Parts: sequence; structure tokens; C-alpha cells
Amino acid sequence: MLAAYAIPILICTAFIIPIFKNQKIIKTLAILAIFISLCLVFLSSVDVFYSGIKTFAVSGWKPPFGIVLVLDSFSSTIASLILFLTLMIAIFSHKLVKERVKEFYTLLLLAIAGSLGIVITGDIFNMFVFIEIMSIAIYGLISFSLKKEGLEAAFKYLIIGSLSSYLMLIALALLYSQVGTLNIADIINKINLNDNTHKTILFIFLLSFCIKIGMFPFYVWKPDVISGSLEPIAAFFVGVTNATIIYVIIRTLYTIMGIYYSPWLSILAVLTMIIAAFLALLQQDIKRILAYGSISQLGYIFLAFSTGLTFQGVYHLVNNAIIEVLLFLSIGTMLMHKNKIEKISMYAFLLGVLSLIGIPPLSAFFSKFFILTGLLENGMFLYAIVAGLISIITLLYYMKIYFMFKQGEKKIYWPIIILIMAVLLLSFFPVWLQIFKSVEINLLDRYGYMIEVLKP
Amino acid sequence: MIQLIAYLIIIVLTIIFFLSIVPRKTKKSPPYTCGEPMKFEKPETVFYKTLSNILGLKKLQKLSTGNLNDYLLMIFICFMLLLIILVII
Repeated sequence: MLAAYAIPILICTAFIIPIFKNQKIIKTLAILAIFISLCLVFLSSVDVFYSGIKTFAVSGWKPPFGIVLVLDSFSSTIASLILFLTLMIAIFSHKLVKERVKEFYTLLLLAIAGSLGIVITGDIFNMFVFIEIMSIAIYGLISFSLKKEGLEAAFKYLIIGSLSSYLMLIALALLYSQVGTLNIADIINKINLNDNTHKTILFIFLLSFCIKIGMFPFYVWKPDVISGSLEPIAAFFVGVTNATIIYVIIRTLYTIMGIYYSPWLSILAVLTMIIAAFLALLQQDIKRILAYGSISQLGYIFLAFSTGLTFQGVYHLVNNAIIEVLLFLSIGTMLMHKNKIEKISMYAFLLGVLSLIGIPPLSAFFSKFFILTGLLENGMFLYAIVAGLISIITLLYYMKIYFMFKQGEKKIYWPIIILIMAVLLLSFFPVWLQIFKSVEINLLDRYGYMIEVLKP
Repeated sequence: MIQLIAYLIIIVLTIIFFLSIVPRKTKKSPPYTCGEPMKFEKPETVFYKTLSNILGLKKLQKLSTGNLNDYLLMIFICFMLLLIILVII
């Protein structure tokens, strides 16, 4: 499995970078490492889509005793997505970051290595270790500007993130004491979901991630953290970290617990959607509006997953991650143009907004359309009405940002152009639909996952 | 039933504990942290202000005080309540 080599490549580059003094070499090495990792993961993903789940036993120790890396269609989709987005962020930061370049790229590489590890590991304790690697790197990235806002944001995220990690670790310890294993496939084999103790442990685990991702009612800290970060870091936080944590929640809910319909998560998702959208209307700061907007979009994704609309959820997750990164990078050009937005970036921002609102034929229109029709088919009329209405509110707060812009001079930023192309490519929905449907089939087959990972 | 009582005791003790250590009425944090103080009304924000008044959104926004103590207290209480609800259901 080629994807298994991506993590050592990223981590080794992160530790090699500080040796060099030349900024150009540092930036090139970092971007090259992410690009090679993306290629390796992409090649493995193609293999997974053609021939099924791939596993890699670290140091030759067979599961459930050793650490195993697992790549199925869901994890390969998310891994490719996060590496692609990080590559765009790294290229964009090339012109923006001029001081402490070593620190920036080392932390960025460690953060993406952590994210990738979370997505491709088949061991839940290994997942916890990668979550810590990712989180610690992000604490550093958030405080990177060394401004008062950045330091306070990093401190807040450090405390909230530590609380979440603490709960996660308690859940893991309890889980190990109950089932005697931390391998995901083996947990599926040994867990008894009729047992209240097992159920409580898994709910603690899930809720710890709800805190980390900032869902209702745990969202209060998130806008402070995003508004205190530099734009590319905020883009990483909203695009890559969110996608990674959603992956963990869905993996736990679908694969470990076998719950495809969860009313409690639907209610939390709808409340997240409503409250964040209305709060976004009140904000005056661009980054805070975008932060609340991203929280509101989380509601759509979780609403889809919690009502059994799996491929719709994956489709909207991919769309949302790409568009959120596009929005943050677009406003990031204001840092280089004296608080004026670069011309093409302004149109890119508009494209992203129109897509998120659900204007046909843009990509998020299709994902939202599939979610709404799926809800109506399942008889969840109230959820469908709320989701439709929140789209209109989304238009109001994003347009508010658009009218705040002052147009600057024209300059081409390639990551923004590539992200525009990605949004347009995703709009050709029939091609992607097949991929997302295969992800759905894979996600719903938890016993297939178990058999494939544990086979001798 | 015993579990439920145990959980309730934990929640009550937690609330008492937090109330005893969290300094009340601390100095307001700087504006950027949250609160988003409305410095002046721009013409385009009148529409949003009306909407906010109708829906009573200001009360919701007050939850984001910018104070880490308040955030931790809110997150911990919500976590405990959600966990109890989920386990009972």
C-alpha cells in the first residue's frame, strides 16, 4: 500500500526542513513532500476503488496485535481530499509567509501527517496519537502570527482541545478495559452494543469529537480561534481539520457502532445549522462570518450522515471542504494587497458563495439537492424545510461579506485558480456520483471491513 | 436508576465546583474575542439589525463572551447533559 509511505515522508521532511537556511529550498521541499504524498495516496486510492480494501501491517505485526493501516474507499477519498487542500494552502503560503518559514512549514507538515495518520489508521489508539500530533501542530500554527489575537486563539484551542483529548483518552481506556482490543476491526467483532457500558463509552468518544469540531452546543470557542488565525491557517483548520474529524465521527458511528440513523445527531445538526447561520448574520468581522458559516455547513453534513444519506453526506463534505478553503484563501489575498481583495479572488469568493448557497449547476447545489430530496423521501419534511430556509440565510450573510470588499489590483494566485477548477469539476456530478456511491457501499458494510482487516 | 442518581450528583457537584472557582463579572475581554460590539451602523447593516431584533439573536450572541472560563463551563455542562440523555435514550 503506497499510501503507508506518505506519513514517514511528511514527518521526515518536517524534521529535515530546519537544517536548511535558504527559504526557497525549505518551501520547495515542503511542497514537494506534500505533492509526493498526494500522488502516493492517489495511486493507492485508484487501487482501492478497483480492487477493494487495502491493509498494511506496520513492522509485519498482524492485526489485532500490531498496528494496521487500512485504506478503504471512504478513507482514501478523505486522504486525497486533505492532501490536495493542504497542497493548495502550502503553495498559497509560499508568497505570504516570509518570516519563520522553517517553523511554519514544519508545523504544517506535522499537522497534515497527523491528519493523514488519523484517516488511514485501523487502530483507535494510534488514531489518538495522530490526533495529538495534528492538534499540537495546529496550536503552533494558530499562534504563528505572534499577535495578541493569535496567541489568545491558540491558548483557547489548546485548553478546549486538551479537554477533548482527555475525554477521548478516558473513553479509550474504558473501551480497552471492556473489550481488550483497540483495533477497529476487532472492536466491531467484540463490542456488544446492547450493553449500556459499551454504549456510554462510545458516546463519550463521539462527544469528545463533537467538542473538537465545534458542533452545537460546543461551538462557542470556534469563531474566536478562526478569527485569531492567519487566513491560510484558518483555511487548514476549517477545511482539513474539519474533514478529518468528521471522518472519525462517521467511522465511529457507522463502522464501529453500526448506527446509520441517529436522531440525536440529527437534532444537534439542525440546531448547529440554525444557530450558527443566525449568529453569522450578527457578525461584523469577515473571518467571524466565515467561521460561523463553516459551523453552519457542518450541520448539513451531519444531518445527511445521521439520516442515512451517506453518499450525499460524503459529496457535501468534499464540496464544503474545497469551497471553505477557497473562501479563506480568497480573503487571504487581502493580506498581500493592503486590505483590498485581489480581483480574480473576489470572483472566486463569489463562485464559492453561489455554490454553497446552492445555485445550479454549481457543485454544492447537487449535494444540497440530494440531501433535501433524500430527507423528503425519508419523510423528514421538517428537516428538509429547515435545511432549505438556512440556505437563504446563508445567502444573506455571505453577501454581507461580498459588499464589505474593496477591490484591489489583479494578480494570479494559482492555488485559487486550481480550487476554482476543482469546484467546477465537482459540478459535473454524474462522474463523481459513482465514486461517492462506492464510498457509501463501503461505509455500510462494517462486517466486510472487519473480515478484510482481520483475515490471516 | 442508581446510575441516573449518580450522574445527577456528579452534575450538581460539578456545577457547585465551577461556580465556586469561576470569578464572576470579570473584566470584559477585548472586542475581537467576541461580543462583536456594534461600533456604528453602516447603511447595509440596518436590515440585519432588524432581523436580529425580530429573532432575538443578541441573547444568543451573549453566549460567546470570549471568556475561556465560561466556554469551559458551558462545554462541560452540555457534555454531561448530552451524555446522560444519550445513555437514558
